[in-house]
Amino acid sequence: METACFELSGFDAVYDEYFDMVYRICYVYFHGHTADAEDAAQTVFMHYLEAGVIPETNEHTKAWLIVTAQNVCKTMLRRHHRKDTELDAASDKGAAFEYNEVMDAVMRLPENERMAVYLNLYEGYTAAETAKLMKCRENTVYSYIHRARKKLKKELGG
Amino acid sequence: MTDKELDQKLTAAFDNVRADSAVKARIRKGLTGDIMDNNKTITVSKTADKNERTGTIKVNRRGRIAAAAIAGVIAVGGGAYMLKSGFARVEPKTSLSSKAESDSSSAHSDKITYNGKEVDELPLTNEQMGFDPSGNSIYDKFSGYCDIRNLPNGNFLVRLQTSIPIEDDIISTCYCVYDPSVNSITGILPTNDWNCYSIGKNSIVFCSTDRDAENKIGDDKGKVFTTNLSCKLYDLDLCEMENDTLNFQLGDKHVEEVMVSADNKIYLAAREDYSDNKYKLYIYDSEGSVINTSEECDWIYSCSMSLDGGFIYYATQNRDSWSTTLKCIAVDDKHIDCEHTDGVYDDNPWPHYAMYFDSGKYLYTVYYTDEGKQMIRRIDMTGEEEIYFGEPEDVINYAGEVAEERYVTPDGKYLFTYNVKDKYTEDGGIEREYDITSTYDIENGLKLVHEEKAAHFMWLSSYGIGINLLYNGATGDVCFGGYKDEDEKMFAEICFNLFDKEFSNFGIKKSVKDNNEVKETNTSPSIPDVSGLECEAAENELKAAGYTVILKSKYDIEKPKGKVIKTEPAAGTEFDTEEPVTMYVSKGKIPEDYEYLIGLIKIPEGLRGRFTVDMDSEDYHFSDDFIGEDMDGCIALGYAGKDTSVFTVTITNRDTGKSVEYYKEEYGFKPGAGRKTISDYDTEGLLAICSDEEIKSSEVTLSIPIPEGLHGSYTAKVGDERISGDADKKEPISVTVTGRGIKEYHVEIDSNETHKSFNGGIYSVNFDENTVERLDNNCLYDTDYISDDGKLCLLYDGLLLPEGLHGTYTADIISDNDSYTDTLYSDETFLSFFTLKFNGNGTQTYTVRFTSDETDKSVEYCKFKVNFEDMDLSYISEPNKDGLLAISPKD
Repeated sequence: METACFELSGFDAVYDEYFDMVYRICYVYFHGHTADAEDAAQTVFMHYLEAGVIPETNEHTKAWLIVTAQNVCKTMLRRHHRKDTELDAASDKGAAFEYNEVMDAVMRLPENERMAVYLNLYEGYTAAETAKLMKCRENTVYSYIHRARKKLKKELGG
Repeated sequence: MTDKELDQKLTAAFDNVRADSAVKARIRKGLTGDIMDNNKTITVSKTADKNERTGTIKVNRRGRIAAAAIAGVIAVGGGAYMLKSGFARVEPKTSLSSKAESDSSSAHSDKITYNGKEVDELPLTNEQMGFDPSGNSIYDKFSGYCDIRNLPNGNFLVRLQTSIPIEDDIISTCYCVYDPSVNSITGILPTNDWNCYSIGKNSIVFCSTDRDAENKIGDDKGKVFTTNLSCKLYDLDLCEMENDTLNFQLGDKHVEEVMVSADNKIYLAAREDYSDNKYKLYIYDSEGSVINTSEECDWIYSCSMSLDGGFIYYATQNRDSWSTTLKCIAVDDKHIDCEHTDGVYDDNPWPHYAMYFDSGKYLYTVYYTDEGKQMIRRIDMTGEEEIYFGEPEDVINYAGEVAEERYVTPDGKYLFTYNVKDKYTEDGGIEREYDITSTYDIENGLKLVHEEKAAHFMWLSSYGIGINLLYNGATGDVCFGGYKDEDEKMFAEICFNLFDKEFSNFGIKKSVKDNNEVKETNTSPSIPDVSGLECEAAENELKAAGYTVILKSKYDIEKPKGKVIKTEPAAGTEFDTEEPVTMYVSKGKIPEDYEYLIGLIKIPEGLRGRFTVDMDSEDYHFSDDFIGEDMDGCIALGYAGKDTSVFTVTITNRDTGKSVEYYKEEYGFKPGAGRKTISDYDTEGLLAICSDEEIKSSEVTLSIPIPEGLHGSYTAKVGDERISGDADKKEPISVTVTGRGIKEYHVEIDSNETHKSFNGGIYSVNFDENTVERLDNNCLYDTDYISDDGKLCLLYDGLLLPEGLHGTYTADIISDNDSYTDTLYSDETFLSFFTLKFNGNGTQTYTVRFTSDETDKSVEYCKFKVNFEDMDLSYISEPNKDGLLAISPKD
């Protein structure tokens, strides 16, 4: 049936729809270093084009992008460390963002807690879905969010 | 701040994370310019196989979170609200099908089966199966990850994920039946095909799904999916019931649930997805005819068959109200016997949906009133009794927004819920406690009979079907299986008995069946001392001594996670091997939401001897050593808990091994809660076990090196001693201390010239053995916590900084898989040390790099190896003090 197999309308649509999401994930991974996040986001969409694999629905495309973005960021972070090169200077960190305080607090969370907060609280994935995307147990997602909330409340004065 | 306010802040913050539109355009151009023309449609892949990578991430965002969001928005405007809670109609069915009467559920057979056929003996050995009959708990008997489920006849169905070579083929999955009464595997079904299964009252159905996709060509373009489902019925011994495989051609529908009735008929629920995220559920009988179709809706859940196999239930939700409609279809006449709608109660920040479960005869609904009171509705599905409304005996803990996380035992007697317990705080917010397993007695007004935290239990991922929740209705034994990534193995996380009897391990005999011979276990007169050992090693040692072991876990400040705290009875006790030994294993440090408070208890004056005090609550253990003579009539204990806990204090004389239960009290952790004595100090009992002779004091001499950077005249403080000297002589500071037992000394050295204080180290002096140990030398002094991925989080505050350092630095602590950034404010650092934190396992190499915020120059300061297992640290390259001073600002 036509309805069950959503046909993608092209790279532009996917790019427009999901670029911000991919960028946010990379931003979360790179502690708010915008230039690194941009590089990573670009790499994710490059993989998307090269892979030639078109997931069957929008939701699958989105999930594919989330998982790929995480992998790309992890690889890039590893590379950074191996070469012992500095990440982008912290000067552009959070520039021009109104919610610096909140974002800074989020950036101080461990990587997994950051990602869980982003996927679950912002993207609206359930804990089960977040667990699949993060390749961890659902329990773990709950405790990441639980811990993150607690730390954030403390940091943001509540 | 409530969770919701925080969520709103986070949402707003994330909303603001956006790449500049120019950047977005630049990246787009970079990508599309090189690889493809803009606006070109990407070719849709030809087969679903290519899609393998994404196929594993089946994400259907349906309803749930959106509902939470809507509820949240409404709640902002006008507080909590309740959508309509309607109750449509119940049409009592005249009688339940009598087929359930002739069930085999209680019958135990001696059948041995292999690959669906009855055999004389199994062709696979225990080793090939990874089955070890000597394991204590059922989980210990199987290697690797396995799913274990209750069978209605008291046996267990185990799904092993394993690789077994059988006839030139590697089998990836093995289903087997484990019979606890003979402690052996009695049925094996090796398979590469069956990827899902469902257990009925008298049979098990195994299924495999295939989903193919092909592209249509011509005018009517698009992708066509075909789902094929093959199913086969087996009895509870894994013997084939029918030769033929049943095939369902489902077109583009997705399989939602396969069910098997009490008379061994297969039913199937399949979901049709629409592009606007609408769904429709079709229920098929074994003939492939549709017996019921749901209305188009936004979310479908709880599709299951009732315990007696007489009804199929499913619940639907719609975006307009998010109320939940449950339908119960009688499988014999396809009639909708019951249908009702419950609203969502928005208990900020979590919405509560109604939860349904059936206990065979009754259909229960847990729902909320407008005021947020939890209520129970009970419908007798035989239609004989009136509908009952009432409050449950105890509040049923379930994650309101995930109403599927519940399990009802096959006999319909107990309800288990898992995951959360909500508690209302003073400011009106809700505190959630996680990983809580709660057990309710259904027939006894849903009274809570057991509640315990199970952090490793994995039931969540398999909604409500009771994976790894082992239960025996006859003995009352319950055991939750957890999975530890580090061990790559299941283990019995929580075991208890519902009837307040001793947990009898499902009646598994203590003798070990091996090569068809029954070996009696050895008897041993006394329990070996296993405290401080790793859980597995300790268990093996106890088993070698002939004991069966019941594992229990507690938080412990001192003992690292996984190490044995103690046994009950204590080590050295003469104890019959027929009785099980309870072994307490540390769960690690107390959770962050626990309070830790110090309390004093009195001990009689004139108490002589070396003692150990042990204090236990339900989930926490504290232990400390003391010398009777050195105490001024009281000892300090570290109490940890959440609300109130009952603590039992036991004091043991270390020289004689004699012990006494000294004191019992209830300790309240909330401000003003206070303490309540349950049983008063057993002073006589304690004096009766004290030593005859006083322990004499002795002298020990410490030799403390002069700290780096200290020059000229100094004064060192070691306990009450004061020693002065000249640092430039480079002679170590020698000081003699007097005492008994073990004492710790923190050495502080003040420069009489600069008045700066230096850390001279922490020394542990054992006066009994005349030994001195430096505690802070290259040693990580604190284990902060153990994260969920099993990594140790350690703190080290011994990174030495050069004297005369000032300015602010960015510190990058870099290792292959654990890196972070910190700030060093050197002017504020009176003691010249910098604290580092590490997160990992095994051995990891770290590099510390400082960048001066003022001069923007950076230096690689040092490199070191951290051994997480030994909590030890050693330098690969020593601190580059000159390098750091060189990049510091001039003034």
